[in-house]
This record gives sequence, C-alpha cells and structure tokens, in this order.
Amino acid sequence: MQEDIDKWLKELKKGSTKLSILSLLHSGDKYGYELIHELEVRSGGVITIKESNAYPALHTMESDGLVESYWKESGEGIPPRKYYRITSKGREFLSGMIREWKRYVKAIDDIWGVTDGNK
Amino acid sequence: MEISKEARTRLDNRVSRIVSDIDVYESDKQEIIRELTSHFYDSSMTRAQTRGSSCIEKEDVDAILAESEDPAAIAAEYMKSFVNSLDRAGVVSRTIAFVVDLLTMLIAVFAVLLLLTLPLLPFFPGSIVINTTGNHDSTMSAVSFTSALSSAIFTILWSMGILATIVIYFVVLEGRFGFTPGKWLLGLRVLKDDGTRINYVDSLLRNLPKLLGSSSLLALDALLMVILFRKDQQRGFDKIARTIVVHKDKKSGGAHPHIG
Repeated sequence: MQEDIDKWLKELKKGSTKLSILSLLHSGDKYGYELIHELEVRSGGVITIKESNAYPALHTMESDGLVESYWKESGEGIPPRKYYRITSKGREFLSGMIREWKRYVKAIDDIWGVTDGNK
Repeated sequence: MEISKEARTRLDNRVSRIVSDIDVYESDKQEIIRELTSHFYDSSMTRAQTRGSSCIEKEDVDAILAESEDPAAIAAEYMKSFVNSLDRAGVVSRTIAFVVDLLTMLIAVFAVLLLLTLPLLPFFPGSIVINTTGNHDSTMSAVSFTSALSSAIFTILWSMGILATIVIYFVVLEGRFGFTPGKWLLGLRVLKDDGTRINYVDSLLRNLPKLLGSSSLLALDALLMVILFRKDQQRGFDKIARTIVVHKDKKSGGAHPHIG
C-alpha cells in the first residue's frame, strides 16, 4: 500500500515542481542547489526534489520563458553557479497557478467534507 | 573551501557518467556539465561544513553521490526536457527538405553512374551508344554479343549504384548525423521520440517508403502525419521507428532568454 502511495505522491510532487520553484524565485534569484535545499527546509522536509526533477524542469522553464539564467562567480575555489531569475511571464504564470491551486485544494476539501466529514 | 584531489575526481566522474547519456549539442552539454558540477560541489560543501571542515573530502562526495539518483535516470529526464523544448517540424518544411534531397540525390546518382561507367568504357567501346539508342546492327554478331554482355554488366552496375546512393543518402547519412543535406539546409534534425540520437536501424525503418520507391506509400505515409499524427508531427513510419523531426534551433516556448 505504502508503495502505491509513494508512487502517487511522486507524481503529485512532480506536478507541483514548477509551482514550488517559481514561488521560491519570486523572492529572489537563486542557483539550483539553493533552490533544492531551500525547498526542503521551508517545507519542513515534505517537499524534496531531486536533481533529475529540478534541473531538467529549470531547463524547460527557461525554454518556456518563465525563468532566465545567468552565471555568477561564487568565490575562490568554488565553481561558478548558474542563477535563475523569474521573468514577468513567470510571475504571471505563478499567480495563475496559485489561484488554480487554491481553487483545487478548496474543491478537494469540499469533496471530503461532503462524503465522510473528514475535514 | 578546498576540495581534495580524490574528491574532485569522484565528483567529475559522476558528472561525466550522467552526461555520457545526454545526447545534445556540445554547447548545451557544457552548460549541463558546469551546472551539475556546481550542484554536486555545493551539496558536498554543505556536508563538509556540517562536520566542521573547510575541505571537501572523498567521504563527503561519496555520501552525496550515494544519496543521488541513478545517472541514467537523471540523463533521461534531461533528454525528455530537451526534446519537449524543441519545435516539431511541420509538413511544409519537411516537404521542402525532401524536394531538396530529391534534387541533390539525382545529381549524386548521376555522378555515381558516371563514375561507374567511365572507367569501364575502354573495355566496351561503343557499347553505351548501342545500348542507349537501341541501334543494334544484326549483321555484326560480335558487336551484338559485346553489347548484350555490356548491357547486362551496366544494368547490374547501374542498379547497384542507384540503390547504394539512395541507401547512403537517406539511411546512412541520417543514421550517422541525424540529417540529410535537405534537412541540414532547413535546420531540421531527426531524433528518437525520447530525444536521443537515431541509429542506422531507426533510419532504415523510417526511410523504408523512400527505399521502396513507391509514391503511393510515400503519400499515404505523409498523409498519416497530416491526419492522424498531427500533434506529434510524425509520419506513419516515424511512428513505427519512434522517431521525430525537430527544428534544431527553434524552441517551442518562443522566447529563449540566455544571459551571461
């Protein structure tokens, strides 16, 4: 059973990767590892994204014009980091996603409330 | 923050393993290498800092890599995002590329036939004239025999030459480079539907209608693309070979900002 739940959860997390990343970038430019780390810390370990999810997603979002990137030196001995910045199209997309997310969560809440009072 | 030589080697090896499965243009590949290197460096650095060290050791990198995913899985996700970001080539650009290819191939066929014929001409004097015009002189049996023999030899040679040119032009070139001269001119590239490069078998499969030389099969195959597989812009034989044709420099999202 747990295996099935994990599988479902994986898909759910995958579906919310864009929302999570854009939400973090809304507060300032960030590099890949910083995004992954901050997401884990701020969500209390509930939302964790792996390399295979984060970087290709960032690449796609850059192609879609939601974010843009630039390289920045980070200090002696540390390899340069690729920073991501949310674009105006990304901001617009983010507010649309948040609106729909809230609507969806409310709808699910309503379903639970109606069927078995599990609210 | 320092990094030990051994730690750095392990880190670089892992990045190399991941990108060895990522089949994209060199500039994109270099960008991925730099970003993944930075990622693994930053994760290892955090671990070193947690244990109060100012130097990344082998154990830090090993611990990070043990938690990391399978290199092939990371590469596969990169390829998926890469292929989704490219614009599929439509029926117009692909038809233009095909017409260019047909014209180029006709020239290539002509050149090959010349190359096959010219060196043999001294052995069969006058045979080409007799064969092409059909002016056989029945009173000259020796010439007739020579002409029949040369006709057979040239027919076999020419058929083989034509077939080899078509196979090399469409199957070998595309299988090796992912494009024919026509596609190159139009900026098109053939890929597997998961974004990886095609091989010779894929190329052979998707080009079967051209090799069979049946115009009705070619038309039906293209018609399937317009009617049935419009979303993925695949011909019938693209579907069978699981191949797609993309604009190699056109991103489907429109704007592609690249700073720095």
